[in-house]
Amino acid sequence: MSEKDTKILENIQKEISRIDKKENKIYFFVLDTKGVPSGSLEYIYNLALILKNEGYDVTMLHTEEEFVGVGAWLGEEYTSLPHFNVNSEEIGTSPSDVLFIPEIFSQVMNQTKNLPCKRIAILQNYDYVVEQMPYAAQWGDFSIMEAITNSDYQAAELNESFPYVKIKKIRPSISKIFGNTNAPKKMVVNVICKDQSDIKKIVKPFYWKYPFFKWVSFKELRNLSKEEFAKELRENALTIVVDDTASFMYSALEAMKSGSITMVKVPNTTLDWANGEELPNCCVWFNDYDTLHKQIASVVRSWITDKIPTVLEEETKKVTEEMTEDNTKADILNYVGEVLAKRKKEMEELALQIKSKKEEE
Amino acid sequence: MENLVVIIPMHEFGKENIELLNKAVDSVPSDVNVVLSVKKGVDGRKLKGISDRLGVISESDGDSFAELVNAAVDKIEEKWFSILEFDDTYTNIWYNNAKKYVEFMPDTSVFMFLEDITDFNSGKYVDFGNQAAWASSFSNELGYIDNECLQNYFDFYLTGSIFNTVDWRTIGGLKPQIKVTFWYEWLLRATNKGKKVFVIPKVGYNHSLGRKDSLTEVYKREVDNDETQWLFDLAKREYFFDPSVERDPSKFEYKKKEE
Repeated sequence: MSEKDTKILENIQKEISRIDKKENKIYFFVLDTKGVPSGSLEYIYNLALILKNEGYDVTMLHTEEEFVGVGAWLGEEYTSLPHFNVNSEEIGTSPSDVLFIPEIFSQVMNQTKNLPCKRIAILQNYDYVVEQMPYAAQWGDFSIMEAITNSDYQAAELNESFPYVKIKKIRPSISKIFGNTNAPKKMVVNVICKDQSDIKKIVKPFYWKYPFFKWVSFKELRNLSKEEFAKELRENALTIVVDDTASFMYSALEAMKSGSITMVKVPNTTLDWANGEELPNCCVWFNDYDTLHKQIASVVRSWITDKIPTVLEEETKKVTEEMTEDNTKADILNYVGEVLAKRKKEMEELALQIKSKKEEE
Repeated sequence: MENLVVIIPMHEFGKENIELLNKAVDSVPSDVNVVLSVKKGVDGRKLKGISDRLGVISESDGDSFAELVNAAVDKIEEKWFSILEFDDTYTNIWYNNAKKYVEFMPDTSVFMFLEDITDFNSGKYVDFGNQAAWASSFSNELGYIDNECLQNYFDFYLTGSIFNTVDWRTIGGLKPQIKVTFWYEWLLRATNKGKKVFVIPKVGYNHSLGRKDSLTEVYKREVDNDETQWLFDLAKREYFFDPSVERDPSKFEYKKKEE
């Protein structure tokens, strides 16, 4: 056997051993939202934390000189994940490593295409793929052949464009921090809007059109920690969620699970949990602000007279019962386990090939 | 809910009023006791046709609303009581919500309710009552009425509320010397003593306004704007004094401004 082959075999063995001992790296590329809570980012951090807690060597990668991170809103345990600025120093990757790249980082997909590690895209919003990919390229050009997603609908959309990409759904979860209690709720309307100007469109005309309800207080839920956010959802009777570009509407699901009557603007994208012929009755849907004002008046009146239909609660249960932390944990651990087992098998086969080549010689 | 009694003060009789009274009694859940408070020595024939559910307390010397309420509260033994006007009704969600909130907020002295206010004659909806407690522009803490916010806003209805009997006795009853604003004075006194007054954000009471002989309508006819203002100022002056404190009667007499 040549010295080169011996060296290769040694390296393969080393990589297999790293996988066996969980010494290989699992990288997640993340966007710094500068302290602004994001359901999509939370999904990624949750996956990372699950893997770290199961003994994997996880590192979060970013490109920010002054990285703010998620600690303030997601909680301190997430800051315990190691973070690394790839602009300050180059990271070395090896074949046993895995790099997860969110769909928004098409440039990173391109720049990392020659790395030896396994690269997997994270798909949560197909619109970002459309926005970020260059006209003349597709994921295959960047050797992205595999992805995980939180949504069957997003997967189907991507597969229409890139049918060769193998996609695995990792069911998202709603944190246990969100839940209902028997304590009576306050007559306060939470408002969660991506665009702050939408709040004025909701509140002012509502007061103008329905002066009888001028006493109804609205509360904007912005820049709150996860605990504070969960507390407001749990305590207040109604929550309005507006995010036209949301791909999953985590906030709406969290509000529903907290027992807050949730009014959701139908987004431009199809939600995985609301993709049937009819929208589910777990929340009150609206298409525009004109109808919303009337709906708020109607829902407030129903709530203060205890006439909210029980179907909302029943449907919420149906929609959210699958979204447990246990399911997410099982999905990601199985998936990463399979990826690494396959990786190991590929390496073992390569080693066999080298060895058999030697025997033939 | 154990230990709850409903008090209905009544000083007007006649067939129509008895019918209204019985309708009011029908709105009280069957496992809650209801007592009628009337003036001592009232002619029994005036009470002909009243609901079998009514226990009558007739201990009041006078027949003003305040005296009738005070006399009844002095006599009851239940932990909680509510006052129902004979021409009003509870909504069918009043009781369940009363139970729920009393359980979760046992240190609260008074649980008021949102009210639907309708015109007695036309039956048309007029407005909500007590909703201001839930307006962020009014309340220091949403749902609660405190002494500070009462200095600027006084339009509250306490009939239909659930009162803690012990706390009521600590605060002292209504002052019959004060007309129109006796409830306002009582609220100022209660909050000044640090008692918690909370408005349950559920419509628990149907309040009808505009019945010709109702107290409010009588006041509307007899009390002009200047006197009304004077009465509110009076309440603000008097709430520092317990009802047991002897006060100069002239302090409660309105002297009309000379033209």
